[in-house]
Parts: sequence; structure tokens; C-alpha cells
Amino acid sequence: MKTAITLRPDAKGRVGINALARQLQDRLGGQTISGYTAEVTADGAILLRPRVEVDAQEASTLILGAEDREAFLQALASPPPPGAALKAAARAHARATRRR
Amino acid sequence: MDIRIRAMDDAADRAGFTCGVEALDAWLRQQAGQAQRRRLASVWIASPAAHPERIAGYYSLAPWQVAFEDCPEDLRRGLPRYPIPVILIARLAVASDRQGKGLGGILLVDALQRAGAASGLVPVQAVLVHAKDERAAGFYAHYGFQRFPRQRFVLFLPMATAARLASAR
Repeated sequence: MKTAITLRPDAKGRVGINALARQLQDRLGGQTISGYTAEVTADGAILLRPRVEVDAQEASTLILGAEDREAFLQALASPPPPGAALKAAARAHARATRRR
Repeated sequence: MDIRIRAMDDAADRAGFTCGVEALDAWLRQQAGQAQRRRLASVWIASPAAHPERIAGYYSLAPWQVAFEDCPEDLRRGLPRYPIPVILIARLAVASDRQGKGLGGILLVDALQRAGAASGLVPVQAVLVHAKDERAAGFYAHYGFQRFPRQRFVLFLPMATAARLASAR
């Protein structure tokens, strides 16, 4: 599992880009940086956090923008009747699950 | 096809299930039990009547909600103030040797019926799916699920449409 990486400027408070690059190279040990997001902390260090892969199935809320919202609310207000394929599947369900 | 659909139990041979999509096979083997025990999702399996240990297909349901992005107050009028409860068909898979025989549609109807039963107890407005790819999205669209204009792999069916299924055969 990836852990967060903190890169600190040198003791005099200078960023020292070459030193930071060496730190980064050492800490990543051959990994690419694309799996991390970077932020600068209040004390001037650079904090790399492992990028969180959000599983859509675990999020539990779908956020809709304007166009999606309109389509959704319109469909809820005027729900279409079941189509032919769904009705056929319902008949197949009844046949397949009928207890003999 | 003579099948029984029941809540997943210990009698089911989860390790023997394969549908051709490793993520769906692995979830059933490794995570479905925990998801069901922790009541994060319910898992339903279809088995041949003569072989209740075999899994011909499965689906899982989970509670979800739909919320709206922030929008100006003058546009908010008439919109629901709280997230809208829906049921997510989190996963649906058919065993490789059962594909192409209509079992996917049967599982989908079963899921809609159970969602419909749940909506009699709590207000559920729609059934939602996150399709893994275009092929899966096409499957749900074939059965009347509507794509969101901006999220083409997310589809929904109003609960009222599913509720009319019983009387529309």
C-alpha cells in the first residue's frame, strides 16, 4: 500500500529543487509519481498523498448537474411504461421461477 | 430453464462461478459475503432447480441516493430539498455457460421486483446502475433504462415504471 510522502525544503527554508528531486527519487524507489496528488503544507513542505481510486459502487451518492437533473426529474414525473423487452423478460422470469 | 433465485447463502459454490469478467467473479468470491454480512448490499443468486449449489448468475442491491449540484437559489425552487433515495443494482452477472439464454433479463426483473417490494416500505424513486462499459450500458438500455445525458454509463429506471411491470405482462 502506498503511503504519503513529505518532502521538506532545506534547513534554511529554501526550496532546493535539486535536493527535493533527489528525495523524491529515493522515496519513490522506481514508482511513478502519477499515483500521487501533491499539495504544499503550511510549513512549506510538499506532501504527496496516494491518489485514492474511488470505487463508484462504494460512493453511495450520485451527484447530478443541471442537464442530468432535468432528465431525471422529468422521467420521475412522467415515468414511461415498461417496454416490450422488459415485459418479455418478466414473462420469462415468471416461467423460469415457477415452482412445479 | 427452471431456476430458483434466493439470497446468497453458504450452500452456494461461489468459487465455481465464472462469468468472463474477473472483477465480477472476484467480488462474488471475496467480497459478497462480507458485503451481505455488514448489510452494505444484499446479494441474490440464481441456481438451477436441480443444483442449488451452482450459481448461474447473481446480482446485488444497495441503497443509494441522487443529489443535485449546487445551483442558484432562484433555480432551486421546485427542486427536491433532500437527496432522492434510489436502489442501486451494484452488480449483475451471468455464468459463462448460461449467457445468451435470457438469464440476464430474468435477473434484472427479479432485481426490479425486489426493489419494488422495498419501495413499499421506504420511498425509493428509481433503480440506478453504473454500467461497466458500453456493452453493459446497452444491456440496460435494451430493457428501458434511461441514460443520463452527461453520464452515459449511469442509467436509471423510475420505480413507477418497474411497479407497472406486474400488471403489464
